[in-house]
Amino acid sequence: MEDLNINRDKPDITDEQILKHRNFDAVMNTVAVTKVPWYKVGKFWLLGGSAIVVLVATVMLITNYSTSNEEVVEVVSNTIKDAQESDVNQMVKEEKEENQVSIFHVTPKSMEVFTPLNLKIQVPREVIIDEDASGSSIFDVSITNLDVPENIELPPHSKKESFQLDFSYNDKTVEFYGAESTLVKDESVTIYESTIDGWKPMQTYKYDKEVVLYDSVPTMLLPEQSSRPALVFDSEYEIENKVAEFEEISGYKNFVFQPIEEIPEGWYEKNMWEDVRVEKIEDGIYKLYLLKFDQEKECLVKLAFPEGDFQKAMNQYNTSFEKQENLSIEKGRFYVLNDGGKYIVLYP
Amino acid sequence: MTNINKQYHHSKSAIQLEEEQINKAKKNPKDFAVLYEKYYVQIFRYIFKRIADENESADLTSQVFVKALQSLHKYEFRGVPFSAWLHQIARNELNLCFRAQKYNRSVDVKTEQLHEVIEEFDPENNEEQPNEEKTQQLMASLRELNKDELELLEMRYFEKRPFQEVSEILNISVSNAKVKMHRIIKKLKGIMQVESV
Repeated sequence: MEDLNINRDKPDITDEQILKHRNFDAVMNTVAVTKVPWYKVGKFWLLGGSAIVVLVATVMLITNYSTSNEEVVEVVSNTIKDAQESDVNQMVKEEKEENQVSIFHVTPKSMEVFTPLNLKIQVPREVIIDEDASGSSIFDVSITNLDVPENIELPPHSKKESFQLDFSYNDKTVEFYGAESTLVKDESVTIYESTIDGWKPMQTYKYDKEVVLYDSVPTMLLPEQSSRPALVFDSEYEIENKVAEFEEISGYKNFVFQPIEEIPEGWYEKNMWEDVRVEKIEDGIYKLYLLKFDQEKECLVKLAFPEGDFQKAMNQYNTSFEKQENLSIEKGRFYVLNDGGKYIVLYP
Repeated sequence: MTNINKQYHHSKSAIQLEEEQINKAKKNPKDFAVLYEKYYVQIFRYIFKRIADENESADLTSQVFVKALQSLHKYEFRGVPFSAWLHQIARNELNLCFRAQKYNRSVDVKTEQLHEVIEEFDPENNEEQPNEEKTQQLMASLRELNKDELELLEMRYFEKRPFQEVSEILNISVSNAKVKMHRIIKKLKGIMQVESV
């Protein structure tokens, strides 16, 4: 942004200066003057559309009644045609409130008959689209599960040709790329994300469409397993500074605290906390004060690696993690669905 | 990072009260005045920091609330502050103006905030304060960011918004906001290292 104006240490505009401009009456007047054109009013199209349907139906009835040849008028119906009729594109509307699939559109190319697989569609909650140094697109996918609708037939894993299957959910068209996966792990970028369940490396995979896919591999339990998930901190909440006075853990960058008591319901989400204070009770036992909105809760915790050999334990954990990750890749196949800028990964 | 802006976070009861206010305003636009008065300063300040013109900011702020009122019937309450939606509208309006080259993009920074960003590059660095040369380099590096990167950096470091608020305004998850932030810091560090050579 070449023309960016950077104002350094400029005095802030005061509330008084801002409030001089506040004028709700002006807003109301503008809203009253700005009316929506009649052709943009939804009711117009609803009534107009209904009138047209009634007219067409009437004409059809009259025509059908009066002609000697029974001419079948094909009307687009809410059914799925056989996917092997390759010249036919079908539109199917299904309203499913639970999985929110609304439109199904198949454009088959050389598809074989196959048995539908019992798959779950993992729907991205959100996707970041970025570019790496080579110009390939990078997609961060956070996913949830969505049941595959029963009447969608998916191509087999062994299909070598690329094919396309379009369907929609949430009223968006989704393209489905289903070439045989030859995912190769991309070593150039690795980001580790700390979560309440442990460390999650976010790996990249190069795909034949030159899509570089970020995805989280399945999490593993931390080396010192416990009945309760641990709280893992890296640079959040400046924990490092807050525990600097506690000699036994000062100097560490990352912390894994094991709750000794139950964290109050609704307080487990680390990203909901505004701040965290740490108080030492005795060696290895601490109290976290979790601040959320205007409330504060306490939680007794201990270090997950009380011997202090945190790094060694994390190294062991990461090694086990890698083994599991490789196993996932061998077992699984990744299909990437392009949801108009969003990607869905299908796991068998 | 210190001094996280606590103004964003509302208690559960405050959010419920806001939902009632929104529902009232949907039935009677005059009741929108409560929300207008509550968020006017916030939205004005958000816009002003990005275009640095008081009168233009006033016009644009007014436009934001007009659009909000016109679209209020489409607003779906999601248990988050109404301000997130207003900020999204403001952001869209600003982007339209920047694309039309109506205004130049501005950013307000404080020296201590720039130092905080520099400290992220090398947390183990024991220097008390980054020197002026590095600070100037960082300011120059800001121009290498694209508009989305600048927006995120600005919200987090220069406006001190918590990740929760940032994620609601940008309509992304908190974890994605953090990943993006991580990349932006990495990018800035890379730019500054190249310039130092």
